Amino acid sequence: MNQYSWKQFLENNNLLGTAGAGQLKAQIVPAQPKTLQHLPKRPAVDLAFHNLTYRVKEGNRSNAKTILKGVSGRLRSGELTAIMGPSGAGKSTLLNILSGYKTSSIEGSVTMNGAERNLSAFRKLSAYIMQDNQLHGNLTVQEAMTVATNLKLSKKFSKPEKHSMIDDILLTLSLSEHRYTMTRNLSGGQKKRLSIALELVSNPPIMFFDEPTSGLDSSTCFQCIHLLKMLAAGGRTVICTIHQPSARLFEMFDQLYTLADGQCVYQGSTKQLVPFLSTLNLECPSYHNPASYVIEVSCGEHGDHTRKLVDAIDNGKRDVRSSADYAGLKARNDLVKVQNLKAILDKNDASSVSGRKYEDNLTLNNGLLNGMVNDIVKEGNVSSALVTTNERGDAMIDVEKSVNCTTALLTEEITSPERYPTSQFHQFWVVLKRTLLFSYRDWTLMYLRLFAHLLVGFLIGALYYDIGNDGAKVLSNLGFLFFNMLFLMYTSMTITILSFPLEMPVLLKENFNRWYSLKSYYLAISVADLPFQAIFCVIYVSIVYYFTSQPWELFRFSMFLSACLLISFVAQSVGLVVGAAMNVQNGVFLAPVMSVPFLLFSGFFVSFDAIPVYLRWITYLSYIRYGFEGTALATYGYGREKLRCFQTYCHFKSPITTLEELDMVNANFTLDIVALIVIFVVLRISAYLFLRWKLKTVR
Amino acid sequence: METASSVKGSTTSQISSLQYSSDINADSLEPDQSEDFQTVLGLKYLPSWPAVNLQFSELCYVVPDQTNASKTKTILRRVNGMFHSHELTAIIGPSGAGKTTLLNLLAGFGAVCESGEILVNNSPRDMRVFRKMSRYIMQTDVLDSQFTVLEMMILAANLKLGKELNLKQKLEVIDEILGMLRLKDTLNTMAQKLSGGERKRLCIALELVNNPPVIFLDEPTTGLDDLSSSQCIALLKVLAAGGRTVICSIHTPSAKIFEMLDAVYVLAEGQCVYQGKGSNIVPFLKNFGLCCPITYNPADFIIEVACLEYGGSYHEPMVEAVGNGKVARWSPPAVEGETTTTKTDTTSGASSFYERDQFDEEISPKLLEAKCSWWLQYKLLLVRMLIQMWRDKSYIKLKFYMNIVLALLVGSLYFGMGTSASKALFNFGFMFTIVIAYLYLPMMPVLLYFPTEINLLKREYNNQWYRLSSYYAAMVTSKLPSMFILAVIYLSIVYLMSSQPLEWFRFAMLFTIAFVTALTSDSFGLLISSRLSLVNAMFMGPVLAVPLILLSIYGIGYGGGTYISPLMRFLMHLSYLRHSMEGLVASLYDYGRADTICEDTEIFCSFKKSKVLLAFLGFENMHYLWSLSCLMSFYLLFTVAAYFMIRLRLKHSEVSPIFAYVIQLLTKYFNFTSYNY
Repeated sequence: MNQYSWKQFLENNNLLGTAGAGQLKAQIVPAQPKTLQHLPKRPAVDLAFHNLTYRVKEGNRSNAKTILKGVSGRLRSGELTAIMGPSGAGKSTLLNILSGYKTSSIEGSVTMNGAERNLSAFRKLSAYIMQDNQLHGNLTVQEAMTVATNLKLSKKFSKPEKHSMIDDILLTLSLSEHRYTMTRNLSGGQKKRLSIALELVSNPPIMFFDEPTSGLDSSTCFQCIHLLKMLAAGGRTVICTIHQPSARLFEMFDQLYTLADGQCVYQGSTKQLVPFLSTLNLECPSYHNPASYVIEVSCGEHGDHTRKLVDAIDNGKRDVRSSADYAGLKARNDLVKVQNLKAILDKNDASSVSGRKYEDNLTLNNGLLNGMVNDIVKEGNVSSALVTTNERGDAMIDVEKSVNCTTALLTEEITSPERYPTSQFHQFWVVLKRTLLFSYRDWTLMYLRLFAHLLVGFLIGALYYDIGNDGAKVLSNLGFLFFNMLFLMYTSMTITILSFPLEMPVLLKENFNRWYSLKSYYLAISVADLPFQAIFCVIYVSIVYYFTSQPWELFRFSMFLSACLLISFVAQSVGLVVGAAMNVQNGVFLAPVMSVPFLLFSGFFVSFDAIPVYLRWITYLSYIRYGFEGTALATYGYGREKLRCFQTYCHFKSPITTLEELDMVNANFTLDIVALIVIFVVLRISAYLFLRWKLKTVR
Repeated sequence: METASSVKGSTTSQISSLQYSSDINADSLEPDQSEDFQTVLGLKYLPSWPAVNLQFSELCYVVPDQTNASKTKTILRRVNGMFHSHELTAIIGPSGAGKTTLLNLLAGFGAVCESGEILVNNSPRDMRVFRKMSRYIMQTDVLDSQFTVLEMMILAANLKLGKELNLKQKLEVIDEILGMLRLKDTLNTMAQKLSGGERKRLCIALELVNNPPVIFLDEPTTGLDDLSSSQCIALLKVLAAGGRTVICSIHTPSAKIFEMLDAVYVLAEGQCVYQGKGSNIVPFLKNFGLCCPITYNPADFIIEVACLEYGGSYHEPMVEAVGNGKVARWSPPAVEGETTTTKTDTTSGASSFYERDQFDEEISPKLLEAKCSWWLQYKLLLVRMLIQMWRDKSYIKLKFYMNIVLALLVGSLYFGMGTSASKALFNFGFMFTIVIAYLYLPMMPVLLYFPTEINLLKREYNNQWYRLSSYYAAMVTSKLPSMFILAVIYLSIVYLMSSQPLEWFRFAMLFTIAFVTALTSDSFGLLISSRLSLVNAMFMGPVLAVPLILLSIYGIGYGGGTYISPLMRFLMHLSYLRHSMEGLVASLYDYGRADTICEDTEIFCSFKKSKVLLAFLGFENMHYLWSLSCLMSFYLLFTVAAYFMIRLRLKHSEVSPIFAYVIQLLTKYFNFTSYNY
């Protein structure tokens, strides 16, 4: 079909006239056609922006700082575009605006295939791979891909189809041999490729990359950009910010967009950069990387040429694709230097020679890469995708490509109001399984929790051995009941304080890339730890109940266990609220501080009738109070017989006396349980609202 | 403008280095020229070190393989090399080539060399001396965010120069250094407001305070943009031209940065594939049939070759050509008749320095003496920590107001119970709330704070800023004022509101017990967080506290006649909270307290007399001074234990093989995630 034949390859090689160079290059880029046949079909997308301006408030002052100053530009499908510029030029801001990550304080327009962009539809078509690889370290590559396919593909794709997609993607990205490797054991380059693989599941026609080569070494950088090149050759629109690419990486980009001080100083083909700068009397030195040179010029290290460059490129409205695009500039330059005709001629010759050699290097890469199968559908004009070459061997880019990209190509799935391809319940189920898998993999904390519950359980059992039926030790037994509350509260709460802060980066990425809704995620996180907490609680309560010889009646044990379980869940919810609402430092301090009043008003320290009237309202808010009351009623209420007395006189031999002392004669166990459930529900909802608010402010 | 002045500065420094060769050897110059020399580059008042040439041979470094227990991985394979004074040398190479490992071995930072030799001026290296001569600038900038540039520089000067110079002279030194590093404009800027390049230069400035002759930098340009990277390397070049030996590892130097390097050392797969001037890389590679395209950066090109992207057959020939680093300065074979001297030869000043014999010069014994006494270090660090606390205003306010709210709440709950005989048991609960409050409130913040603070400590300690003992003493002491004030506020409120006996000695006794309990809880938290990661410390802290609470009130309400086994009594003594409880009870009820009031509504008050209450609670045999002594003992025990834990962590001592084997088993069979500190 569109295979690049070996015969054409040889002919193209001969056209270059340098067999040695061709042979050398051939080792670098093996011409193996790769295909992603099984992914869902997507329309090609051209993106254009016009007069983009972005301002931010500077500190507390009222004046604003302009990051982007009316820039324009165009990003074509089938091309790999690099956004370059010095620090502070606005690269990341431009990328964030184009990807839809930033939506406020923006002037100007962004169009998609010639029409104003619908951001909701655009978000379904695009993927944003951030600079840091936000991955869960406790999953294997296969598991991560399975989670992604289950979340991002609707039910009309069967399980074998999903497996085929995963196999295709992993094979294409050279991750098949690492299928069963833990994500945390992958190298930097492999993590980057996995981040890309996860987003390829939904086959986005537009992909944004923020500094994809940051932190990678030379070889890994090359593999990464080569991968992006291949994705673009498949018909996608690939845009990335890049900092200091080597010359070899730079050659692989199709289009370059250079920013300086919030304005565009160059837009166009990478191979036209050196000739373009040359016409403005900016010569790239020998053994110098053109990418570094243009950044140095933008920084002002070779004098202040920003204004000249911005005017020449019309702040992004001009797109340099061939020599003809800046012929006017050249003519103007000739006019200025009419008195130095000889010097001009020499310079033109040198520029022409270096330009031609530079173009030759690019042609081979382009020719080889264009042989790949085009897996982005271009209905109605497939024949125009054929690569043709002119006399000089340049790979001609089909300038008429944009005509085929119209809004009508958007399928019903893209424009439907549904935000996610899967149902809320399905998202919840997938995230829940993943979270349970995390807990299974990271056993350090699980072992610590089990060890702690067993240790304290047996310790309490030893300290309060056989205390439950001794009339002389009722005060100590009440202390035992109180310590159950204290232990369950702290062990449940301190873990969850850190849950959300540590997960925030991954949550931010996955939620923005439309993996799942926040509601589904929150429900999964909420539910995931309940079974573990319940198991630990049951183990602990069984140990202490047996050793302390509490009354052996099944209904009493059930009541006791119910109260303890609910206390555990409520304390867990308190930790979630603190973790969702505050930063780690304040949360770690406030959580124990806020718990002390609940301990004080639990009924253990002071009986309810001894509490001043104006403070009694706090007892109704104290969940410890309901737990303590519930366990006390389970132990001493509902007609328990008298305790044994081994001394002359036992003040609390009769259970009624104990309840009178605690002011719990009229207490109702069912009411305690209901109160705990209500507090639990309120706290869980509060944590969700705090998390939602935090997610919005972070972005 | 900055670039122009930077270039001018470089030119000036290069010219002056040609004439004077070295500001480090200022005393050997002719007298009439020394005046100009010092005003240009010399750092007045600072100690004068001899120039250092660093040579290493047959270095080898092996680490255990992370995935396979029985195998090992060789990071460095018998590499050799020579790093000269007056030169800025960059170690470059692909990821995993061993750049950082080599740098760490040469700096003596953490890693211990398996085999091989490191020579300093042709003599075996004395590590104790070398640590005082060299400085290591980490890749990540660890700075106190609560201080300005000037404050940090003054602290560094005070710690490193001691009383040898007065304040005016120190300020002159600081002014000189900041001027050289172009940081004068940021004098009063908070560290967190600095840009990336400025932070990097500040890290260098802090270490320049006592003029080290050898400086190691790990990836100094990572995270900086093009302009900041150029400025940083230009600065390092100025430092090197002044006579220092500057060695850094760089990931992918740009062409502009590459041109500024005096020498390049290229590593690949643990071996040296090139050593010499950067400009000779192109002819070097041409020898092997590799032609660097004219639009390529030679540094990128040789790294790509090292990555085997042009085939795997070039690695061994390149290693042989430079003798795995034995060839100190590769140069192309001299073409007959070619006598032109290249530009880099003259600008670096290295060639003229070769002819001078510096190797016999001895290091003055005065240089090795500690400039700052233990007491002075302690004072300076204490002041820094106190200022740090004070400037974190929001956190202080949070603690202050929460403290008051909690005190009012507790006071209201126990309002008037201190004098009521019918509520004596509740008054016992009042004392228990003090124990719980001063267990958790001091402990939880430490579990969070210390794991992040240790990064700063690690950097400064390893660069010989101070002793660990003075830092630790300052850390322990700096917490006392805020804890004292908060305790006074809290205990005064709850004591008065609950109508405890208004006798000064009783309040003083109660306050003392409560305060020492808080200190002990703080050191207990420090002991836990010195070994565990953040999440696990957060869990284990409260968990370990529960047994302590249990034991503190065990046996209460049993009456005097009940038997308690000796084992239980021993366990009860292990809980420092038990001693707190006994001390608090003794404060309020011992020493002949008057009878409590029995209201008319009560028919009979069992606990009107103190002795009856004490007997019922099982506290007859307590003694206040005994409790206080035990509490103080626990405090000292935890404090000293935490100190040794931290010391162990900083020393990078090797783990015993048995322990490592156990960890491996746990990791393999139980999915135990081993946390590397």
